[in-house]
Amino acid sequence: MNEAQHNTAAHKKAFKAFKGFEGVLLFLALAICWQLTSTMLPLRNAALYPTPAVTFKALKDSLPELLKGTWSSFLILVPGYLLAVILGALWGIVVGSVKWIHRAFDPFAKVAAPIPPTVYIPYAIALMPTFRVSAILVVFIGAFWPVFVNAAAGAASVPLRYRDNAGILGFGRFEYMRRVVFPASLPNIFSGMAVGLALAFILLTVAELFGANQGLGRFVQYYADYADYPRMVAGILYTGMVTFVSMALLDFIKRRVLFWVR
Amino acid sequence: MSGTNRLTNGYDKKDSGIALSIEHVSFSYDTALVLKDIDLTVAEGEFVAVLGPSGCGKTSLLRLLAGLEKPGNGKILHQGNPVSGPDILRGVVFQDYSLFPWLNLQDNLTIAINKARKGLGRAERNKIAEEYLDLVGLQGMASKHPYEVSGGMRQRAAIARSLALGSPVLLMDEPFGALDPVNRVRLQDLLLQLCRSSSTGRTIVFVTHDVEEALYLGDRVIVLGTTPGRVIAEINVPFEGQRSRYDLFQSKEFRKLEEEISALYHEDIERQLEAGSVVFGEGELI
Repeated sequence: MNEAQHNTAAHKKAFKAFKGFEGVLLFLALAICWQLTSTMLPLRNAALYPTPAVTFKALKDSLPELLKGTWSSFLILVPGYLLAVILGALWGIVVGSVKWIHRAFDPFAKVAAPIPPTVYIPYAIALMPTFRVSAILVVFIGAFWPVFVNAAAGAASVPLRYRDNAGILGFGRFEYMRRVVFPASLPNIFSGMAVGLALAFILLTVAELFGANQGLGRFVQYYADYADYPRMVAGILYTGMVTFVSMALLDFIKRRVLFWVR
Repeated sequence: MSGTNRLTNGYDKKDSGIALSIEHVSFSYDTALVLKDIDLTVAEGEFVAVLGPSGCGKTSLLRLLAGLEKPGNGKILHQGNPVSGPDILRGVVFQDYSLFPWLNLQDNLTIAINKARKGLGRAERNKIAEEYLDLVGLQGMASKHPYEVSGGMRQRAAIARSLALGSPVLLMDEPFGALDPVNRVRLQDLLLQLCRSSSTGRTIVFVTHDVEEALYLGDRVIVLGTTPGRVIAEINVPFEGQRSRYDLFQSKEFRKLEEEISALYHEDIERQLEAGSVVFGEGELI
């Protein structure tokens, strides 16, 4: 029994040493797994499963092309997403705080918001003059709903204490919206923005599979068509990193803006 | 202080008419009767303490006076005009949420200053905000946010905000209820000092469940009973002028008043027990 106790104590100590590095360890384990499986498994078509070394060489070689693709993708993502954030937040605040507008718009939102935005892609491409405009439209629709729904929920549930204070300070309607409802809804708006950004990336890359001649999604599709799997896998990893950095940036901004949330 | 004259907001204490009058007011929350047939007048410049246990509807009474709730029956007048909603004529200090957490202390005050005196420049508003912060002992805290300062400092800032708003009537809902005893004493003294100063003095309705606090601060104490809330006693506090906390709490008159109020509470509770209604406090009984 003493020995058992000693063993658990030793285990605890070992775990403590890794505290804070669990995430790094998992990445390491996955990389080792990838290396081992790609070199040692007797695969029928080894080209489909490139080794880490081959993949990173492909990543390095296609970096100029990927950077160009990133620029092209961001020319779609940024306008579509920003427009969605601005209009979604503003309209959400209006719908969340003005009762008759809520009654008018809510049924439509309930029907339109759950439609998977990917189904708009073919129509948007047919409808709009250029691929870029149609892709911006699709990204906009996809990111708009999460921002709108969260902003409306935030505006509809402004805590009574803020409303009381606004009344005591003699705020008019517009001042109340700008100085109280907007800041009080910001935590919800940022939740919506995170969901919206993830959706925006999905829609961006899917739209690019359909009709782009450059961009991140297009890169992956192009090299898959030519069976250049190292470059394709490199494209997937690169897109993942771009998405991760964008989400981290949003999180950074959120922390700065919502410093007062405790 | 160079800006003292600017802190008066044109309000003059010498007028001694009726500030607030509550006439036959009843108030229900859902189906429960919270306040029953309240009659009360508050004179200009008077400090009225509303004393009662939890659930007696004293917060509801204050919200009614502020215009944040509407009475079911009866009417509430402020200087003869019916109260139809919140107004900057009646400032409110809540227990612990008078400030907007996303604004620093200075900006919380400049919002009020902007309302009290329109057309001031930003620099001037900031300067006045700093003067009010000085007044409540918050020198150099202008750029702090509410979450960065203690509960006592937040309440100081909340008082400063209502002073800056320039409301002739100040309604306070257990403003020191969430503070530790030391800070509570400090803020009670600060409030008395502000009341006595001619530049900031005004009509105050102060809600509390603390007997000592009510007797120490109030010119008059209104005692409320529970289920439903109604006035069970009105006591004119006989301690005039400069009160020393220590002398006051030692004095026979004070002890006697305190005992009288305790007796009133017990009568009220016994009356309810006899009537078969359940006594329900929120974890506190006086």
